[in-house]
Amino acid sequence: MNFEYIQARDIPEAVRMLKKYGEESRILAGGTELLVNIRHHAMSPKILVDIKSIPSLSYIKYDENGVLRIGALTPLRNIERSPEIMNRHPLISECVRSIATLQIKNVGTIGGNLCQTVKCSYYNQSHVNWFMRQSLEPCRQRGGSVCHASRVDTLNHAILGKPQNGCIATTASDLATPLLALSASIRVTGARGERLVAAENFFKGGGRTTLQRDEIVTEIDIPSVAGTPRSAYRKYSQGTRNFSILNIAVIARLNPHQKFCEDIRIILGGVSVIPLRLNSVETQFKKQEISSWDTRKSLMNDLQGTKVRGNLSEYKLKRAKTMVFDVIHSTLG
Amino acid sequence: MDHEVNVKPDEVLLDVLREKLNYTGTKRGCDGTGECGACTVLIDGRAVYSCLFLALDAVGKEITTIEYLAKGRGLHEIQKAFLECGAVQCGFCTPGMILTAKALLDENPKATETEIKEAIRGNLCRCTGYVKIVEAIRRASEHYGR
Repeated sequence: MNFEYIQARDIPEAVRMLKKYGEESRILAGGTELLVNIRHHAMSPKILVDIKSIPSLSYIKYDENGVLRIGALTPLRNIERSPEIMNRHPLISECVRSIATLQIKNVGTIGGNLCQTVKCSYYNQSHVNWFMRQSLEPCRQRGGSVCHASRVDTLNHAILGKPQNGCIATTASDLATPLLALSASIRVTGARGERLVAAENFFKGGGRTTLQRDEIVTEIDIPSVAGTPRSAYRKYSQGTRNFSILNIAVIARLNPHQKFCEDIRIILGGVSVIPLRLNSVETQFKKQEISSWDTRKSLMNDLQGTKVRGNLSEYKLKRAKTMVFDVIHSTLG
Repeated sequence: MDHEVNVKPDEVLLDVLREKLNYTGTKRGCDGTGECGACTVLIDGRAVYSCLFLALDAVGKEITTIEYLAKGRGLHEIQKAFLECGAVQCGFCTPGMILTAKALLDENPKATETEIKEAIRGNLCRCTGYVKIVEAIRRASEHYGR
C-alpha cells in the first residue's frame, strides 16, 4: 500500500478534495473494503480522504413523521444493536445481522456498505498469488475488455439481464435488497449541492452507483411503514459471514381480515446485477384473496430471460425459486 | 500505557503494534484482508481487525491487546476458561478469540450459545476446535465480571 492521507474536517472539505484530486482519490470511511481492495491490487488510489472523524455523520434517529434517518458514517454494528430499529424496521436489523463479522461491523459504515465495488474472484484477486494471476487478461472492471466470469459457470454472478458495462457481478451490498423493499432514499452531497436519490436508482450494477466522482453519501432515509406490516429477510451464502449469493426481502401489509395484502413488495437480490423487484409475484398476492401459494407461474414471468450457464447457475435459479416460495409462505402464511 | 511512535499514512495498526511496539501477541494470519481474525484488538472496547485499521486512526484511542489481559501471573477469567476447557490447540487464533470474547461479554455478559457463535464467526480456527472455544466462552460467561 502506498498512498497519501488527508483528514477532512467536514463534508464540503471532503468534496473539495475529491474534486481537486479526481480519479486519484478515494473516500476512506470504515476502510474495511477499500484497504482490502488496495491489497488485492484492484485499485491503487494515491490519496485517501478520511471522513471518519466527521462526528455529525454518525447518528440514528426517527423524525416526527417516523422516517428513519441514518448518518452515512454510522457503524453497521450500531444499526444492528439499535432497539428502535429492531422494533420499527426489523428488516434492516435482520439484514445487518447477517452481514460479515463483528469486527467488520464495528468499523464498516452503512454508507460504505452501499458504495461497495464488485465482489468477483476475477476482480478481487488474492494478493498472495498476484504474480501468477497477472497472466490473466484484466477484466472490464480493471480496464480490460473481457468478462472472465461470463465464460464460466459460477454461483456468485448474475444470471439475468444485460448489464451496461458488461460486468455481471451482482450488487455487493446486502443492504440494497431491504432498502429497495422499504423504498428508502439516499442523500448524497457533491460539488453541485445535495440531492436525494431513490434506492432503486442508486445501484447501477457492475459495482457502480449513481454517485459522481465528487459525491459522498451523507444519509440514508427510510420511510415509516404504515400499519403493522409483516416482513422477512433471508440470505443464502456460503458460510455465515460471506457475501450473499442470493437474498430476499419481503414486506407486506395485510388487510384487517388478514385475507389479502393491501400492499406487498418483494425484492430478490443476487439473480440480476441489481436487486430485482418481483412485480408479477406481487400482483398475485395484492388486493385479492390468497387462493394459492404456488408462485411458479408468476415467478416465471419475473425471471424471464434467465441464462443458465451450467449446474451452478441452475442450482442458483432453483434455490431462488424455493427462497421466494418459502419467504412468502412464512410472511403471509 | 501511552505510546508515541512515528507512523506512515499507509501503515496499519497491526504492523505498528507488532513491529514498532513489540506487542507480538497480536497475530498476522490472512495478511491484511480481514478474513481470519487473528489480528483482533479492542479499540475503545470494540473488537476490530487491526490489519484493516490505519494506525493514524488509532491516535488518542484506547487499544487493548492480549498482553493487557493478564495481571502479573493472574490470568484473565476468559483466559482461565480457555485453559480449563482445553480450548487451545496450536494457539494462533487464541489472542483474537479471547479479545472477541471479551468484547462480547463486556457488552452482554449473559450471551447465549447462538450469540457466542455469531460473535466469533469473524475468527477462524484452522485446528477447528470451535466446540471447546464456545464451551470456554460459555464457562467464562457464568461468572463474568462478578
